[in-house]
Amino acid sequence: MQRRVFIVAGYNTVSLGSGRSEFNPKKKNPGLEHYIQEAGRKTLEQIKGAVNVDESVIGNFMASRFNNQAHLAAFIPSIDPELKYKPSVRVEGACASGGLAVMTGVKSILAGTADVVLALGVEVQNTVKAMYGADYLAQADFYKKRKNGHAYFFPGKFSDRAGAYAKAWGEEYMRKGMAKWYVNCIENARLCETAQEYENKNERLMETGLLPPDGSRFVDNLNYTDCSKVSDGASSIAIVSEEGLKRCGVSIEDAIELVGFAQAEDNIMEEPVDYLELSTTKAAVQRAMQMAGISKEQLATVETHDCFTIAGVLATEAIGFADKGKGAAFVAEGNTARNGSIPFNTTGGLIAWGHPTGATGVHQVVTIWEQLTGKAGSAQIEIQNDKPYALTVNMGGNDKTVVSMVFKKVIKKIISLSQLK
Amino acid sequence: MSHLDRFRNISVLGAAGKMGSGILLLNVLHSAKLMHHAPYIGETFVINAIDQSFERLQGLMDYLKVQLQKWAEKNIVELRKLYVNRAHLIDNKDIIEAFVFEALSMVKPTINMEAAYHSTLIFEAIIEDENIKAGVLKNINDNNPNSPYFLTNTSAIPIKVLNDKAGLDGRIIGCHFYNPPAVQKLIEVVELDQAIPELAKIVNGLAKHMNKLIVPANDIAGFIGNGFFMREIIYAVNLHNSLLKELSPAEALLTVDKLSHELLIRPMGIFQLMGYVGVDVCSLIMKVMNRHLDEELQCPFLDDLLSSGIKGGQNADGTQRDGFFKYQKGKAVEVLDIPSLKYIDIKTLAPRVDEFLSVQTKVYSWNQLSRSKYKEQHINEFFTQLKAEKSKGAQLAKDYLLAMKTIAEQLLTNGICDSTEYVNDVMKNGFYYLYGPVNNFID
Repeated sequence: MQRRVFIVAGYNTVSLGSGRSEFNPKKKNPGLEHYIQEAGRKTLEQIKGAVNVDESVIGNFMASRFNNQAHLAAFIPSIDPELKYKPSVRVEGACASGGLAVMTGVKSILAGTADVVLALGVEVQNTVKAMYGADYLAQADFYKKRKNGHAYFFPGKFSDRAGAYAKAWGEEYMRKGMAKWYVNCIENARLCETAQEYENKNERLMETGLLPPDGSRFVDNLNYTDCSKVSDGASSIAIVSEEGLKRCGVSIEDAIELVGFAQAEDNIMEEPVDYLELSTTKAAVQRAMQMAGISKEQLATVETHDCFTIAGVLATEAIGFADKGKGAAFVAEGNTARNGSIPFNTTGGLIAWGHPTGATGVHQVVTIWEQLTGKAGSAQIEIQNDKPYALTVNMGGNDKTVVSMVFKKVIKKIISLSQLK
Repeated sequence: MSHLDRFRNISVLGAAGKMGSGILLLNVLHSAKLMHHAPYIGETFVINAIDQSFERLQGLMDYLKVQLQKWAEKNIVELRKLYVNRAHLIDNKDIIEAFVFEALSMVKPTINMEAAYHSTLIFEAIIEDENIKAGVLKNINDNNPNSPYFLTNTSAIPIKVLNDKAGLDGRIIGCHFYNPPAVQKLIEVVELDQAIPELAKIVNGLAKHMNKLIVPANDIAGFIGNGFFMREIIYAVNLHNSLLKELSPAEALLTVDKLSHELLIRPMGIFQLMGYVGVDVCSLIMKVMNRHLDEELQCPFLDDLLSSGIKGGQNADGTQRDGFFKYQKGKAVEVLDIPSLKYIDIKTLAPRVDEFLSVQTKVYSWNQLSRSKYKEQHINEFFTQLKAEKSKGAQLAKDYLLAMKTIAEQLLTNGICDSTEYVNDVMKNGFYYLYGPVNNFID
């Protein structure tokens, strides 16, 4: 890369929705502006104010329907008067909107047109009941396919993937992997105060995860526990150059470095080439890893887009940790747990931290920033110096828009006496 | 005419009432789905909602709209399949709106009884008075050229009485829903001795579609549900009266209620249940039954209360009116002192009642057990321990249980039902008891 790019000053609001004790669907809940302002201001506090920001990007999927609100870029100046008249842009790529927001900021840094970019993602979805929300979210796929789709359109799509997986590799085998994914997510979320499942008290998680799905009430191959949450929330972060880092007065130990990124797009009008593979994810991850020049063995942790447990299982295969069809075993054996060989989604992922769709891509980056700078609190995992890398995978639609990024922990070089001589 | 054809023009009499509105809703749901299947696609369906005032009918339409919307939202997976051929209905919202609109469009609210002259199926849910019921049914039958079938929701009047008085030639069946009909799983079905088989077929089909449980009862006043309930009322009132030697009137009332509620692990005590149903309704049913039975079935206690203005029942919004108890947020907080007609805070009486009953065995709440996977085991354990206990409360509870078993067995002996299992079914499904009165807990 022509310039070094750093990530600093991450912040997540609470992921609000069912599971949080303060959530009441019948009462008026905070709106878009609340989340945008809270997240934005908390990031600005960490970079010595909005005066240091050159431009902003906001990722959001579907405020136009969930909140009857478009033109979100114009909410950015409401965070701080210093942002008035500065550039701000809203990006959308379904559930990958957050990832696109970060990537758009990165490109501004690389282009040299900015040294400090505020990147924010937001979604407020609890404004309607789930069956209406399903209509809005279905627009992440080709609308002409909606009529023949399931009432819960995306659960239907990933239920089809799970059905194909079960048929190819065995239903019980798959279910064990998906149940373990669910257990890991809830256990991780219990360590993160902003997670939607933070207060989850189920003592029989595995039993819950193993329940057989009921297609007459929901979809054929997934339970509710296989699905990400309906969430309200925002996440924000600052993307800075070396100059930006100095300007913001942020110490390098409080930053992580972006060393590779890729975005891949597939044709929304076509069905997946192979239901058993997240091929767009695979393409994006390969390019990001190639750009970073690292192998998967050097990764300390991964934040992947587990909108459904089956997507988590398939991601372990697309990233290359497991061969095709072996992901369910890889997960069931505990490899992706927080004490496993490669911890995934250490604050609960989309299944248990929550999935405020447009914010998710930013939330993933915030989590990686927290883990690689030792700021993850109770959810902190050990980051060894020989494995200083972390990966994010943010997916929009049925594996149509994917943003993947590789980050590196900043290790201060200690100059030895011998080198001085 | 096939039995399903009869659903193309229905009338619900008393449609805005507590029972009628639920029966109407169930019919609207049934017809709204039927119209999507051959040979009824594109056909006209009419459901006359007949009641006495425009205000009540307006309230009914509001209720229907809310209930249909809720149903459609909950059953969107099924609805999408029903609307699969309607190309322009794409989103869940489109389909839900279309369903609610089409379902409501079938319903013709009216205060004119004449609307029923065109119907082929008539659901009756008006006041529990045999002369009024028979008069209305006769009027419709005399003016309706379709030889309609009548489904009456009477809970006590013998079907034969209505058939004879209205001159229906056997075209009537008892179809007793429980309150609220949209939720309660039970339908008590009462056929005439010389029944037209198609009537039972219609009720069975409807029940299956509505996911209801049918329990057959014989055509004897009160049938199973009220046959049991009214006799229990008499037992409870007599018990209350006998306790007056040891307790104050309010304490005696609270004691019997607590006994039948907590020690019998029921959703509510017997006096609370009487208040829920309404003292007036209980008294009316008792009189209807007394008139048609050889057995003496009277309860002056109820009449005295009524003449003192204690009525119970529910307000239009479903909240409980003052009766034996005064309620706050759905919870009984004060109990009636019958001689003074004043209410006394339950908290001040509870210690005396608890001391009187002095039960040692750990009591399970109905709420707790109704959700438990192990409820049968817990109930068994509870009664086994209670059986061994010598306290006054334990003795009264055992007597009560035995008396209930006797009532159930008498229903069989008197030919009201063909099996005591049916009594258990009615009490479990219609009254939400966790166990039937015919059991071996304390034998």
